[in-house]
Amino acid sequence: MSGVNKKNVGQPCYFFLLFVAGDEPNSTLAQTNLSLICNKHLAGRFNIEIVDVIEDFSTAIDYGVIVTPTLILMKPEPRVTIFGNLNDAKKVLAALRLKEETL
Amino acid sequence: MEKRSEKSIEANKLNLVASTVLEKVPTGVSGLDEILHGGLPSGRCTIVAGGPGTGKSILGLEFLAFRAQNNIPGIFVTFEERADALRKNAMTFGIDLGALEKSGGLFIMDARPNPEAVVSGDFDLKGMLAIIGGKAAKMGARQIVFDAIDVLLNLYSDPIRERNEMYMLHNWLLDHEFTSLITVKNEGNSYNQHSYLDFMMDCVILMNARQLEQVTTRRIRVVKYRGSSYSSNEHPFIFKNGLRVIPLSSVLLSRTPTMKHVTTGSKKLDAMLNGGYMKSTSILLAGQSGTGKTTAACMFTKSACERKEKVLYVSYEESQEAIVTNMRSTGIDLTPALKSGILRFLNFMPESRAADEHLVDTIDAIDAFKPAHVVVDAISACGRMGTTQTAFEFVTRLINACKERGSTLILLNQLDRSDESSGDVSGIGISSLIDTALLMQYRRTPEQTQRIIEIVKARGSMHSNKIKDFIITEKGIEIGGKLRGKVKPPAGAGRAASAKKNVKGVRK
Repeated sequence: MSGVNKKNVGQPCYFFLLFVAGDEPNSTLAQTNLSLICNKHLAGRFNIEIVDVIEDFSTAIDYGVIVTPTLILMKPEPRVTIFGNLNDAKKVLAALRLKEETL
Repeated sequence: MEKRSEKSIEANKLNLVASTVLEKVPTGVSGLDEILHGGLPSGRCTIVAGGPGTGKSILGLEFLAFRAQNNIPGIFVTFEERADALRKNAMTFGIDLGALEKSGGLFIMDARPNPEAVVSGDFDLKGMLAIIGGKAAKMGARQIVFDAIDVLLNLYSDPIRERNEMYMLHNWLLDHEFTSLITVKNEGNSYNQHSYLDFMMDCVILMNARQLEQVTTRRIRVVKYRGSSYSSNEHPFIFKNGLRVIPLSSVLLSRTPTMKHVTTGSKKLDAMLNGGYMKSTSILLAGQSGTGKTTAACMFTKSACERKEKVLYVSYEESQEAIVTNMRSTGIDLTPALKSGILRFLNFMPESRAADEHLVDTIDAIDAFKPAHVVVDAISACGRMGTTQTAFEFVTRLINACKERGSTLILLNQLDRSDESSGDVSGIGISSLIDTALLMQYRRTPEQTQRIIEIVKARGSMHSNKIKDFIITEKGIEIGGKLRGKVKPPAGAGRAASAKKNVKGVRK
């Protein structure tokens, strides 16, 4: 998933790592919720990489992931970790330091 | 098809029996396998609950290290401690986790949840299990330890969600036939915050540390073990090169006495005992302060050493130098035996540490030195290791350890008046475990104080029922000797004078 767009060159691009466990319900939900949030608030300046821990467990070990789904905001720094299916959009936005008015 | 031979039917029956017997995996933790009657249930889950610092993590690490050394890899999933800290802690117990990790026998998975992580919506442990499963398949791991699972479970604010995830985890472990050990904290009086775990798991082990007076004692207990017998008692354990559980084994009851006598060092006392002390049994020498218990024990020690039988002398009351010097006044010179290494002293202040540590150090000394006889001077001091109960357990286990090893155990006990009136010559209620008991007392007449000795009991041996007078001279204890001028006064005074005389004798 990518939303990099020439219009947004001046603003920081958000790079996410989303760890999921196959098509397990919470994992599917997290993917949907994340793309909704990104498309709405970070249109054109986000990049999401999905890691399926069932396929690739060693990346999960490298990032210290223990529960799924786990979302890690890699950039901009500092790193943010969110557990869960991301169904509380307000909480997710706050954690990502995204203020309502700037959106 | 009908021609199924009887043999194959028999074989099938045997297979059926074999498959119904629970397989066990030894933990390698000293003494623990004994109380688990073999080890942890193979392919099943064991929970270890305990307060902070009780040794849960070490138990898990030792188990994995032991298995890894036997080329069966394992995974340690840590939810609380850093991997670095674990490696350092294990090193203090002589376990090199780093080396095991390099050889592929162990993988430490750092699963500490990010404390700054935000929770939004539901999540599950399937990802974690996929990660562990993947890693286990790659390295061929057969056992998994989850250390401080409470930290993981506390991520869930919903107890029902938490429980469901735990059921899922448990089923996953069973499906994959991992022999797993899960540690969980319990605090204060609450048995276990996540008490449903105890119902879920096949084996439950409880560890705790408690204070008796100023001394800490640690206890381990198997609460449940599905499909297996186990020792349900609480057992003491200590940390010495790892975890060491000190079970009270049943060898004591199954051992047959040797029926061989060894001399007490005094011919007349031998005669009273129909030949001397019985070899490989426990003997109690009880009496008030100054009645000559140490002298009697040292006479025995000297004669044993002269026969080239090794003696370990455990002293809680006097230093080696003090005993050797004092004994010269009674004509007992222990110096040659010490010099030749056939006699060894073990000096400890009873209150210096927990009774369990005393016990392990004493047993280690016995195993290293392999003495034919052990003298403990005196068990009355063992109360200072904690309480009377502590002393009782210490002495019971020591008696047991000596019986197992076939060593004669001479226990000295200093009585006070209350012990004498209660009739318990051991002072701490171990009389029934003693094979031979001698009581040394004072008898005051208008003219003088006399010493008397009697045999209270001598299991499996004829013995004199007479109360005999004895004196302590520069030739040791003389039973039935006529009272002469050079009688040792009761409280040890006036020894110096006779000691001087004796030095001459030693030099010839």
